[in-house]
Parts: sequence; structure tokens; C-alpha cells
Amino acid sequence: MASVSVALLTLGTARGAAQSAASLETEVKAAYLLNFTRYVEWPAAAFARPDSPITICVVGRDPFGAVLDSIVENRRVQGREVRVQRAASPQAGLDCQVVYVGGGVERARALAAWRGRPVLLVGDEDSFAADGGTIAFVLVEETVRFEVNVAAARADGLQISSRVLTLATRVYGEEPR
Amino acid sequence: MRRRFRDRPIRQKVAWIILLASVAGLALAAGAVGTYELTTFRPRALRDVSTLAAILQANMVPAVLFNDTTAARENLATLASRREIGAAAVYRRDGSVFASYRGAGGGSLLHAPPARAGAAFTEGLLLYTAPLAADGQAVGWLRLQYVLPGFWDRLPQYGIMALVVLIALAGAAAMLLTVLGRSVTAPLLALADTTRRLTARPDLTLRVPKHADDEIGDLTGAFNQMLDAVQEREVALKESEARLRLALAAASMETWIVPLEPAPSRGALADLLANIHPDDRPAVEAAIASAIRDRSGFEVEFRTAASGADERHTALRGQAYLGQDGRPPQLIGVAQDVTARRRLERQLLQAQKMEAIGNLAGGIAHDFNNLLTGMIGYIKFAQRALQPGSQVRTDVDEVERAARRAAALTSQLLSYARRQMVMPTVVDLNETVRALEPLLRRLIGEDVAIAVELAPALWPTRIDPGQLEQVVVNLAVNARDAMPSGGHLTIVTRNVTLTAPPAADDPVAPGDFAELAVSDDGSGMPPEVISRIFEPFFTTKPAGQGTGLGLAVCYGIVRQAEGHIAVESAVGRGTTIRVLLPRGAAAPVAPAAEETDDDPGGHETILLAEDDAAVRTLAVRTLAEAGYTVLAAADGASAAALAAGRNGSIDLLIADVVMPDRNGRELADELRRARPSLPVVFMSGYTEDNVLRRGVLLGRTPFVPKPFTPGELRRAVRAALDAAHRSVPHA
Repeated sequence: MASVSVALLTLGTARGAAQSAASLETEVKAAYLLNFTRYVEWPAAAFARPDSPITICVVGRDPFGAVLDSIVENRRVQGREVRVQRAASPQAGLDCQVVYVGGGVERARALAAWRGRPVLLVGDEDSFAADGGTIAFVLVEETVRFEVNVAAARADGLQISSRVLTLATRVYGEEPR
Repeated sequence: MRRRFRDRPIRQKVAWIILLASVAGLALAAGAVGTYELTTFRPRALRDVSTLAAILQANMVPAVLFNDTTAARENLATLASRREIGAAAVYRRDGSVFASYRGAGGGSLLHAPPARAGAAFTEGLLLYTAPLAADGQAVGWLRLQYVLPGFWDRLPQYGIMALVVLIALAGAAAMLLTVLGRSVTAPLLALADTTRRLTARPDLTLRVPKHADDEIGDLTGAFNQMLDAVQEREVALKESEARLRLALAAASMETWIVPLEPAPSRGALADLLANIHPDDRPAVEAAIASAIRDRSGFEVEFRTAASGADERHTALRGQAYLGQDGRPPQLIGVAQDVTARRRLERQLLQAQKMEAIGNLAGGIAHDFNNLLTGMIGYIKFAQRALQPGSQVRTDVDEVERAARRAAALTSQLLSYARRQMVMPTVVDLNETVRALEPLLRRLIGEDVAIAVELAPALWPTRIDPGQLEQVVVNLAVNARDAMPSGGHLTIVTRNVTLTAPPAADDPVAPGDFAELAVSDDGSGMPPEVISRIFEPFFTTKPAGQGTGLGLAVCYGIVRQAEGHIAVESAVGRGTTIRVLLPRGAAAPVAPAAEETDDDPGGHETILLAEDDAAVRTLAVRTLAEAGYTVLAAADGASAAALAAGRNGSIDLLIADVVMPDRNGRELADELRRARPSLPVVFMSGYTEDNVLRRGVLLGRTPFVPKPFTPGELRRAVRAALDAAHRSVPHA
């Protein structure tokens, strides 16, 4: 519990006092979404223009609400603006670099919609990364951690920094060295 | 006893030098390292810590971003390998500690939140604070506490380095010394060893082996070159010495040295003057003493060994040196055996003496013969006019005997002087001895027994018969005189063939000889007498008992006949005198017939050239009384003028051999140019004219020896005229 609050402080949001304990987990995840963008390398084709923003798409039920918007507000990552877009269901036409697969979205559909494209697929379910997603949030000792499927990322043309991989609780598809 | 560095072996010196140089180098290096250390330590520490921070930053940002304190701590824990990091901490943006690390070195915990980024040195610590930022946004702080190690803490690592360097240096030095030993010390020791061996045993063929072409090789080469030079010089010296020794030996010389300091030892001088004749010693010692005193040269001569035949003459020449130019004062010089030279000198002197005596005797004899010719001639005239048996006739006969004795003495003088006109013929020595034997018995007397042993088939000899008789008689008389109280006289003849000269200084050629040996068993003679018995007028007999000419005349006669005479004698053992006469060419002819009493005469015209008035007058009278026409001249020139005036009417020339301005032979030659068949008779007591002497010796030239009797002259003239008539029958 204490570590969650610490994480929130780190994020430096200005709205601390009114937050409930349940939303703390959500806020940490929102911060992590932004932090992931710092350690992922997209192919140039992932962006329409060199100055195109990095777009975080929240598909399905949105747990973050205004928290995510406030986190990404005025942030520039890898020289790009960061935007948040929301969609009710997986749509291939969405121009997203990060997709958070929220509740109510069928996992297979989501994977079908973005698998093979340069999109970082982040999910909440424990098996998400093992089943073909790229990053899955997991709770370890009441702390938000994450798993990474490197093979999936590579298949999609993404390069995830080894620094993030060292922080992951589990890494799938790692090539034996 | 500590040796000075200078005297230590080169290896030790080099070892010391290497050691000192190494230590100095090491100290220099240490100083350099120290300086470097001090001046660059802080910046290095800062650089070090900032590098560490930069590495940590990259990993720490995501750890903070993803709130992973475990990862952060693990990252910090990697600092354990860096002992100098005392402590480290990661802070959140708000200053709270996110993760911390405390090193084994025990740095203090870092709770104080960092105010700003940067480095701060405090009390041996470097506090380094670096911001953690993601995409330009600060997310926290990283702080490292760097414990600056004290200088002495850092030293051991340099110590180890120094130790390694030292060991390496020691190894290098050892290697260097080995190489040095091979390339420097060993050749030097070889050089020294050779030098020592050379000193001990001067074998100049020794050479030092050359190891390399370095400086020592150079030295070795130079040393060997020096040996070459010394060897060359030694060889030259030895050759020169040998040459000198041979030269000295050839000159019968020896060198000698008497050191003068300390005082000349009696021994050295005694060696030098060993065997000196006692009579010569004082003079020699005085000369040497004077030379030593005055530091001057001296030259003495003395006799050594026993006197007599073995006597040696030694010439000593020397110089006393003061001892400047480093030589000790010494008396140095040569000794030379001059015996042979002295003997030759004596012989020369003897020859000169005999020559002088011969000249004197010849001159006297010439005049005597003229006088005697006159005396005997007029005695003959007087005898003819005197009644035999009368008192005057008897007196005149006595005068004649005295004159004849005088003539005999003159003849002996000439014989000795070898100037007598002799007429050698082939003679049988045995016959001569046999004929003389009765006379000898009468001469020698009854006290002495005579034994005569004549060799059969004795070779004939060629000598004037009268002279041979003279030799036999003289030797016999001499032997008798050696036996005043009686004894045995032995006369032996035999054939002798010489293959070498009988004595080194004797001119007699080897060949066949008839030997006459006359021996007595009388008193014998000591060597000093033997060496002088052939000297004229040398006699051991009391004054008035001998002329001293006997043996000298024998000597002259024998030498004139190209023979040899030798004496063997010893005191108490008697004397043997041996005469060797050369073998004659033909068998002996019978002696000339006794002259007849009648004096043959003639009517021919005779030219007489005689410078002595008495002889001339006598000859003119003698020949005129015999019927000849005589033209007399007192010298060669007037004789020649007379002959020219009586062109062709002169039948015979009688010429005295010895005349002033033109002698008899020259006159004869002149006249014979106009008339080659002109017979000539020479008159003379003696002659020095070798052409004439040779003609007389060969029997070709008619000759009347002075003094002559009128009969002898007439017979010679008649014989010459008859011979001329026979050879020219138409005349």
C-alpha cells in the first residue's frame, strides 16, 4: 500500500488528496503507460510524419479517465507530443502507437486488430503477455509490475529497451543466448 | 679490509653502477608517479565517479520511473566491486530516499536530501550528486560518496610495481653481468693471463685470442701487434747478436765486463788476467788501474800460457764508463788473441832482417869478389913467375890459400842471402853423401860414431852440387858441435811424398821429395832456440867457435832449391834436422870432367865490359896472354860504342853482370839486336837479375863466377867460342 502511494508521488501529480486507494493502482498504470513510451522504439513507418505525436489509445472500458490525460498533458517523449485517444472497440483504422486493452474487449479481436502492426499492446490480464500481447500489468505483493513478450514486440517491429526488460517480472520469447 | 671502489673487479663495478642507476631510476620514477598521483588524483577521482554515475543513471531512471526499488538496489549493489565507493543513494524528486547502498568501506548513510547536482570534496570524501531525468524531466537524484584513499593507502600498489620493476632490473643486471663476463672480463683476464705468462717465460709466439671487434678486441689486437713488433725486434736482435758473435769469433775476440760498483772485484779482474805472463802483469794492471781512475780507455797486450811454442798473445782493449745514461759504472771491452798476428809480424821482421843482412852481405860480397878475383889472378901470375919450392913461392901459396878461404866465406854469405849464382843439376843425394863420408869422418873426429843409412832407389833431386855438399857438411858439423863429449851421428836418406804442406806457413808445395835426415843424440835444444836456429849469426857456441851462418846457409840453400828444412829437438833427447829436396826430373848425369891444366887460347876478338879496374886489367892480361885481341870497356855505354866502331869484328862479349847504368845482360841484349849470334860470357859474384839468373839456372848462359882464376876464365871463353863455332859452322 505504501509503495503505491510512493509511486504516485513520483509521478508528481497535483491531485493527490482526493484520490481513493482503488484509483491509486489505476494512476500507477497510467504513469507506466507514459513511461513505456520512453523505452520503446517504433519503426519510422509507425508515424505519419516525423513530428506526429505518440498516441495512446484506450480501447474498451477506460479505467483511467482524466488521470491519464493529466499525466500526458504537456509531456514530450522522444521529441513527440503524447496524446490519448479512446475507442469503444478494436478498430484497425485507429492511428495508435500504444493500445491499452481495457475491460469488455475480446482479447482475440484486439490481437487480430493490431497484431503485425507497430503498436505496443498493453493489457491488464495476467496471461495477456503470455497469450500474444506485448506488455501485461501484474500485481506482485500489491505492487504494479509488468510482463513483456519480446517475441511479440519484435514481430510487430518494436524495440523495447533492455532497461525496461530488466525491470519486468517476466519476459517471454527471449531468444536463448 | 675494505677495498676502494677503484680497485674492485669490473664486474663488481658494473654491478654497482647498474644497481645505483636502477635505484636512481626507480626513485625518479617514484617521484614522477608521486607527482602525477598528487596532481591528478582528484580530477581522476571526479572523472571516475562521474563515469560511474553516468552508468548508474541510465539504469536508475527506469527503475525510478517504474518504481522498482529492488532493481535500484541491485544496481547500486554492483558498486561493491568498487571499494572506493563508500555509499550511494537514489532519491526521488521530492528528496526522499528511493534506494541506498553502503559499501564495505563504511561510508556514512546519505539521508540529507541533495540540494543540487555537483561534486563536493570534504574530509577525504567526494560527494557527487547527479540528477536523474527522463526526456528532460527530473525524476530524482543519484548520489555517490567516493572515499578518497590516503596517499599511504595508495602506496602499496606502487610498492608492488616497484618490487616487480626491481626484480626485472635485477634479472636484467644479472644477464648483463653474464654478457659482460663473456665479452669484457674474460678477454681482459685472457690478456692479463698472457701477459703474466710472457713475463714468466718469454715465449713470443704466444698470442691473445681475439673474441670480438669491440674496444677490448682493439686492445687485444694492439697487444698482439705489439708482440709481433717485439718478436720481430727480438729476432733482429738475436740475428744482430749472432752476427756480432760470429764477427767477434772470426776476429778471435771476446767481450768482457768488469763492474766498477761496488769496487771492482779481484775475481773479475783475475778472470780477465788469468794465465798472464808474470813479467807482463804489472804493466797490464797499471794500465787498467789508470783507466779505472781516469775513466778512460786503455789498450794493453800481454802474453799468456807458458812461454815458448804455446805462448799466446792477448790484446786487451777497454774503456771505463762513468755510469751515465743509466748504466752502472763498468769497465768494458774486448780481448783479442793476437798470437797469429804477432807471429806473422815476427816472421815479417825476420824476413826484413834477413833481407837487410842479405843486401849487406851481397854488397860486401860483390866488392869482395872483385877484390878476390884480382888477388887470386895476380897470385896465379906471380906463382907462374916463381920457382916452385922457393921461399917466396911458398909465401905466395899461403896468400892464395887465405884468399880462397876468403872466397869461401863470401860464397857462404851469398848462399845465405840466396844471391849466389848457382848451377843446379840433377844430383843423386846418396852419391853425394857417400862421396862426402870420408871427409865427414875426418871433420867429426873419433868421439862421434857415424851411421849412414841410404835408401835404395832414392829419387834424384835438382840442386847445385856444391851447395848440396855444403848443406851435408854444415849439418854434420852442427851435429858434432851438439855432442862435445861424443855420441852418435846418423845420416838417413829416404823417399817422402807430401800430400799437404809440412807446415801451415811453409810455401813448399806437396809432391815427391828426397829426404836427408841428420840426427844426433846430443844435448838437444829448448823451443826458444829451435825457433831461432835458422837466423844468421845466431849461435849457441862460445864466441869465436862458429860463424853462426851454418844452419842459416843450409836454410837459404834449401829454400833456393824449393825444398824444406825442419828441426825436431828436445832438451836431452837430441836433434834431428830433416831436409826435403824436390824430386828431380831426370837421372843424374855424371859430374863434369876434371879441368885440364892447359889453358886453351885463341885469336878471336873479345869485347870485355867490366867496371872494376883490377878485374878488368886482370882479364885483359889473361886473355891477351892467351892470344886474344881484347877490347876493354869500363861500362856498358862505352862497350856499346866500341862494338859499334868494330862492326862485326867482335867474336865474343864478356860482361860483368853488375855494372852501373847498364848491366851486363842489357848490354848483351843490345849487341845481340845487331848480331843475334854473338856469344856472351857473363861474370859475376852474384846477381839480382832474375832473367839472367834463370838463364844460368837452366844452363843456357855461359857464366864465370867470381872470384875466378885466369884458367877458369880462359876455359869458359874457349868453350863459348867453340860452341858458337859449332852452332854456326860456316864462320
